[in-house]
Amino acid sequence: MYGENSSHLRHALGVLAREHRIQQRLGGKGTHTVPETTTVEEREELGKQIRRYRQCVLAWSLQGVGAANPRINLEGTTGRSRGPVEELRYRLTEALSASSAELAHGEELITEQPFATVESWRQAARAAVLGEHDLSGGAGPVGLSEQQRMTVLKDAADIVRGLVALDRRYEGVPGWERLLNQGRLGRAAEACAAHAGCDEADYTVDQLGWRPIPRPMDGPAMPGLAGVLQAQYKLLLHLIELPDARSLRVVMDSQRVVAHEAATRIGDVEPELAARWIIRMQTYRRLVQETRDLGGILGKPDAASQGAIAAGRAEKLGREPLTDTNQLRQLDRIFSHIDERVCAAVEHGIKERLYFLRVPFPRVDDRSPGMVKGLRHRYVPITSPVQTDVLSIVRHELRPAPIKPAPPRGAAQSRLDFEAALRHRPGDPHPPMAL
Amino acid sequence: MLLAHAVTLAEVRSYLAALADQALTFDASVEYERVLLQVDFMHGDFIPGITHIPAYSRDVLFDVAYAAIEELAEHGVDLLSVELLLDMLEVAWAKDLP
Repeated sequence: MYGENSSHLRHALGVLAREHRIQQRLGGKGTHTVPETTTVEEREELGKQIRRYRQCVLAWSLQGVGAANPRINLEGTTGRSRGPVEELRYRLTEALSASSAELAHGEELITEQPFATVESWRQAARAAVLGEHDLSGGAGPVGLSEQQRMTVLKDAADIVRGLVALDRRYEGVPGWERLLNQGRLGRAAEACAAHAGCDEADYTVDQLGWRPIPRPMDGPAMPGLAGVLQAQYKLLLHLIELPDARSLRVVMDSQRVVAHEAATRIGDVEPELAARWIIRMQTYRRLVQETRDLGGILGKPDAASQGAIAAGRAEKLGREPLTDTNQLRQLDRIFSHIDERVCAAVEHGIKERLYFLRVPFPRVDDRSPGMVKGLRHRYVPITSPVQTDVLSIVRHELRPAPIKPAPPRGAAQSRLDFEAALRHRPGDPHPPMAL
Repeated sequence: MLLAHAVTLAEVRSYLAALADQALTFDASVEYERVLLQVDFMHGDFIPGITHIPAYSRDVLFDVAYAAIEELAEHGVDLLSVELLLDMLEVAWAKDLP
């Protein structure tokens, strides 16, 4: 996720920002008490290594700025015509292309480094490389709100500020190559951070980005409600693809059974939840009635089997009440997700004319060839005047209330810690960095 | 599918749907729906729609549905499938008690 990777990046750069006397940290001479452990050539190599790691962080920053403002076009712009975002992007592109260092290789990213400073750079580079998934995926230019864009921009600008500050501090490293137009890059980052920091930040962006592909809970059937949860979860995964009409009917039937069986067993423990599940059962009962004439052969049939398994396991639950509130919450959450997918499947199937309604007018097809005349089948799109209540039930009764994303805990603290690390002076107290 | 088969099938579906709607218990309603799903599964996607049945008593609905399922055997549906459907219908009927 964006929040996880950017937090790691800030943490690693925050640690670096609090380090001074860099030569000494790379094994160079500094004080009389600590002997010199590396030669000038070795420190030069370490410097090159650090610059390769830095290149990864710069590339991440450039992607972040691009994600925040994907429509900018730098062709033919000048310093006066560029706004703060364009200016930062221009300076970053310039610095990246002018640097003689390459991006760190995969081997370098996973090999632990003996010097703590280089290790922190490696951590930063690794977080930046992992973060590239986020910026091109869910937290990419397409899926962000305006406030989220500004938050990403502020994060990227802060990282660049940190890089510029570190660049000044590393100038003493043998063979060190400064960022091109370091001063202008720093000023552009400052301006951009101030520009993006005007609005209130929206840290819900932290929950976007790349996530591992969900895997089914394989293995033998678990006992009790856990088995129902297992089958429901598998059903949820199968519903990612559009089920065919028959499969959708079986899924609706199964959800009616699961909701009913679960609700009857929690009436005394969780009356509110039980009431909600009874309403869900009634909604599915109406949907089952309305979709009896639903047809359509396009789609995947796999969801039906998992739905039937879930219903079968729910029916075999013992008569004793279900008291594990944790499992009940999980089941409720899976119910919401399944409802959402069923809504999406019905809406999509109807809109794309993949689901049809059978019209009860069987009659002989006189125009068919041959002596035996067969039945003339008639299907009509659901959006035609032969309407059912399927759409209105799905839209108004089944669809769960949209979940308002809450910013993750520690999102603001991570940024505050990084800001404190950037502004700190030697001798300041060293607060613990939040991850 | 010929017209006679289609008419019988429409009858089966319509009466099963009516039984499911009028069932006295939740379990019976679920079982009737399963018989309906099984009938649809046997015939694929080319089946006639359901016609609304006037309000008969459940006994009448059951008898008509039972007879119509038996009649499916005359239209090329194999006997084993018909027997399985009848068994499912009887299980549903056994649960349909106040």
